[in-house]
Amino acid sequence: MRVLLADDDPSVAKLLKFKLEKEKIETGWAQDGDKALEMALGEEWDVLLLDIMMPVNDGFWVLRQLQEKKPGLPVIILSARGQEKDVLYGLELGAQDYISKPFRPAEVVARVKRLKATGR
Amino acid sequence: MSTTNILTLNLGLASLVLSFLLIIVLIRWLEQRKRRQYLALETRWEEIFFLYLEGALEADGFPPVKKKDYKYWEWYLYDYMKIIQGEDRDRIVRLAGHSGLLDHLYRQLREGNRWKMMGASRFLGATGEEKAIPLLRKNLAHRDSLVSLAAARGLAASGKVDYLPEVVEVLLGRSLYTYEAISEILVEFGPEVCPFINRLLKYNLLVSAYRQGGGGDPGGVNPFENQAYKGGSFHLRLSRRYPMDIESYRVLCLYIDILAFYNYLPGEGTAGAILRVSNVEEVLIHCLKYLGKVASPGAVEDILPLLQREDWVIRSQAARALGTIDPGSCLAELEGLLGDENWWVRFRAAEAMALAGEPGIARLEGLARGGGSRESGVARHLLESL
Repeated sequence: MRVLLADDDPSVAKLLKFKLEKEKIETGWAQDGDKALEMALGEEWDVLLLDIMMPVNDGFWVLRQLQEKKPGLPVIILSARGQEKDVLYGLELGAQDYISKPFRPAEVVARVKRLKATGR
Repeated sequence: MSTTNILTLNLGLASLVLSFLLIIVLIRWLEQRKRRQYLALETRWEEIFFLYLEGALEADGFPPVKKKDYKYWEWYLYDYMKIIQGEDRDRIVRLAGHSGLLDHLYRQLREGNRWKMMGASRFLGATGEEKAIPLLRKNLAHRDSLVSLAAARGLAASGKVDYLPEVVEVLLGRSLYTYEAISEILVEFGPEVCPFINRLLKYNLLVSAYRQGGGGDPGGVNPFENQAYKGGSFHLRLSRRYPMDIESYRVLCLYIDILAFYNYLPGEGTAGAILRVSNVEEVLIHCLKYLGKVASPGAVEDILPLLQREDWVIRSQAARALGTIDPGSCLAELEGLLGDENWWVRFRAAEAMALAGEPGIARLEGLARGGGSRESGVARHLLESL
């Protein structure tokens, strides 16, 4: 299983990378929206963990691009914006799940595994 | 001026520029050295820290952190504390305590210089430790504004909403901070601050109503039914400087903006009640923005009378809010504003009509075909922008 982490905060990326790799899940890391889209389109991933507030282009932009170019890629939004409208907007743009920061690392891993297993 | 004087002046200027450049180089070198030191420590801590979070080792199994490295240790742990919640976060606080960092920071908060107090406030506030609260509250009244600001941030980061009024009182009492800066700090209390603010506003609405001799309950809910309000200490504390009746407009605007930031829908009834009782334009505008943002379905009745207000800003904000709430239910009222003397009011009303979809757009198209009236002008302008 392969998970792409798109987050500009190295602490988030390093922690989740450690947690996921402990579960034998391979990870990749993109630090901005452009890089995230490039990696998402260029390689095969089972899940994309996507931050909203990222430099260059934000997570909503990535979601809109993916809707057109790779609509089958399951996405979990991971963002400090725990606001109702952002959740709804992210889900409308095709994300399957939404986790607010601060998060529980074990919960993120569990949701990634569930999404891979059930597709929702 | 003699040649010697010119030479001396030039030499003086050259040494000034040189000293300036040397200082820049020195600062840069120190920063880089600090960064390298931090990265080396981070690499050393990383793997063990994650194992600790996993529960693979306990705090006493973590290698001791030298006192000289406490600053870096604080930065390192803070980066993780701000993104993690639950048991993992509690483990970080335990590790900070076991490594001696918390005691070190408590000392700094009590006896350190300005910068040390500020750093300690940030970290200790984020831990949410009860022991930190009295110290932060004490520093809130510190004569140094930056220390006071850091204490306010620390209290906000602790998420202990009971201290919100105290923080607001201090921040508003110091003219140093802008409205935006204060809002930014208050938001750090987290979304749990919204129910607290809502109860506080309802309480004050009721007090205001009693003072005016009405004795009613404009909020729709009697806050005294809630046990927490009997002798509510926050109210008394606020009363010391800010009577907090409903026209204490700066506090009120701040609170409404926080509800809006978190899209807190349960506050809609309170904001609707404020629209009915307040005459302060600033307050009305903030309430309208909030109600429009949360698209409060029950607010239409409270907003409609504001379309007739003398202040054009209120009329335009009322039209704008209706546009996001339920423009289809008030098309006639919105259409009535298309002939308003103010361009923004006409534009917001037309915009709201368009948001109603087909019925609103059809009316705008009908008006656009008319002559050179204000109504047809704004209708054409809006339709062209769609």
